[in-house]
Amino acid sequence: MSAIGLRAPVAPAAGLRGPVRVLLRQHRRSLWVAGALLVLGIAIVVGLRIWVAVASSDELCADGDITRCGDDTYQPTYARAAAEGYLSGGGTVVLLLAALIGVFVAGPLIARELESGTFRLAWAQSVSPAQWLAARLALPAALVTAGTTVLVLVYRWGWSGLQSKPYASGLGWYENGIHPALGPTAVAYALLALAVGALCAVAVRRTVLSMSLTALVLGTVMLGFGKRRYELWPTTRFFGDDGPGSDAWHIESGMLTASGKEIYWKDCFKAGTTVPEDPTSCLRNQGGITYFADYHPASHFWPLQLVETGILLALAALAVALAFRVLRRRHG
Amino acid sequence: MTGAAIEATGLGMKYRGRDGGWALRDCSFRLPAGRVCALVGPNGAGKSTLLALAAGFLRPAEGTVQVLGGAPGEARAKMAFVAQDKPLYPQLTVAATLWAGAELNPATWDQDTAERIAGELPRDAGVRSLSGGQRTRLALALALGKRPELLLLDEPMADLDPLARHQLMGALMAEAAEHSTTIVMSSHILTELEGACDYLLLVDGGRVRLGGETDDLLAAHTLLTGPVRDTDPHTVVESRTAGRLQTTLVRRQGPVDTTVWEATEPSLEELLLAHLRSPEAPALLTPSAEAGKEVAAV
Repeated sequence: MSAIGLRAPVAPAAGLRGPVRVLLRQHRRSLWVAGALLVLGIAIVVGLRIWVAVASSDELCADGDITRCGDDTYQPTYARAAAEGYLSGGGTVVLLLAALIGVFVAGPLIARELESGTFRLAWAQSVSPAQWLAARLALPAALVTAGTTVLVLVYRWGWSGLQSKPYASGLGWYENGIHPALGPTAVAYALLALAVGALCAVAVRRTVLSMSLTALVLGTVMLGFGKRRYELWPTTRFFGDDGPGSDAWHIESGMLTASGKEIYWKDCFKAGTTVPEDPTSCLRNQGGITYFADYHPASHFWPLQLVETGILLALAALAVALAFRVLRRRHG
Repeated sequence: MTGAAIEATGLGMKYRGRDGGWALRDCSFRLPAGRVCALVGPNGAGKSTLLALAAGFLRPAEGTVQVLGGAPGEARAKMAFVAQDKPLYPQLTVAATLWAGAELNPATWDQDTAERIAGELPRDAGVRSLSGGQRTRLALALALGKRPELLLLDEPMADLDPLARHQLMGALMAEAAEHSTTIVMSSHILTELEGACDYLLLVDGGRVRLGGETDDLLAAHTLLTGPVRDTDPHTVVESRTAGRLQTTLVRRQGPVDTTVWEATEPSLEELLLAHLRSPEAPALLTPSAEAGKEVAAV
């Protein structure tokens, strides 16, 4: 916040005790629902792992095959296939939960009070507008950070148990449906959600409108990162015929010409062109000599996570600073 | 008690989207501490805006307002405000609302006062289920439990039946007298305030038109009844003629010629109505109500 030269808007922690306690009391029911969602999330992951473990008695081979070992057919247990399917959506679920938090903060927590006028109850007591907003940010931030951290740890535990199995499908660390739930980005998304929710609420002051606006902004950010996440860290280039390994996040590949120019596979298969019998001829005809592949190795997981987390937290800080500014401009 | 409870200088407030009109314009006055002040004026005169500015809920578009010697935001702990619609958290019960008052005012909260004002309100009733009058009672309990030095009430008694009004007004005045609380009470019902208030602010068209001790304001005016004739040198507030008889409310400038006029002191209602019917009449602020006066004297 200090980065954009704003005076510290948050009152000392002692001044937040009363407002936070009242806030807890006001939204007791929502807290129960949030707690129930957290327990449900944990229960699903734990349940899936137990199911997979119990079903593993059907496996005939060391690699988890339930058909004859060593032949060409490989069939996992139904429990494993189903668990892989469910867990491959963990990242999406975390993003949806974050959006839900943002929408809740925007609507019931802040905008509804501004719209219905109950904010004046607190402000007419010894609570300044800045304290009022700070309580509405600090309490959810603490709860959301703790809750999301637990979810991430549980999810990682569930995911790593399945992902390490051979032939596990759709569980790559880089998948859009998985990556956000594997690390600190999950917490950052939740914090950004509540910051955006607060900003929309104080700017718009209408319950439904600020909820919709929050959902729209968060959806855009989440989709944007889903599409461009791979650009957050420079890729590694691999030369040779065989790929960089199953754990790698394949981004782009093609051939290099003698002069070092890149020719991409994707340009060979433009809409409307027929695939030639020997697909490599397309590249070779353009002067391609060596294969290359740009990819993120598994070691890029943390840099990618941390860069995304950093950007999200910076955006969140900006939104919070703006929210306090809007509030002060209007209410002194 | 010396010093000003509220002092406004050139205060102006404009709302967006209301044809850019000013809700309050060039408003200057002073309210000495320890008074019970009636803030009167027609609907839409700017009473609520003035109270919201004094309570620190809005930032003035121009001018300044000082409350208890500081910015409204700094005086938050020392003043209470009950808005016209009596904002209360619908999720809470009566008891929880009083508990919230204690939580939000750790330094000043007085549970006994709050309980006394809340009276017979069922403590485990949800705020949602309260009637208008019960809401008023709870909102007043919240405000008085805070032990404010300055109590701002916007149309406080509008939802109450006459008996409850009388009873709550009595409780309010008793608290005010005991702790020499300054009270500002807005209303467009004059009878609600007459007798309870010793200070008066008439707001009309976004400006303060009358301000000062009720007695002094009344004493400064005279109702002249007599023949249709010029009332010089007195300042005419309103003049009405019925047949050969002229009734004029004047602000005296020197002695009244009682050989021509029959002079009586107007009632508060006559004084206020005359001013409201005559927007052109000049404003009158008694010395204690003039902004900057006390500061200059010190």
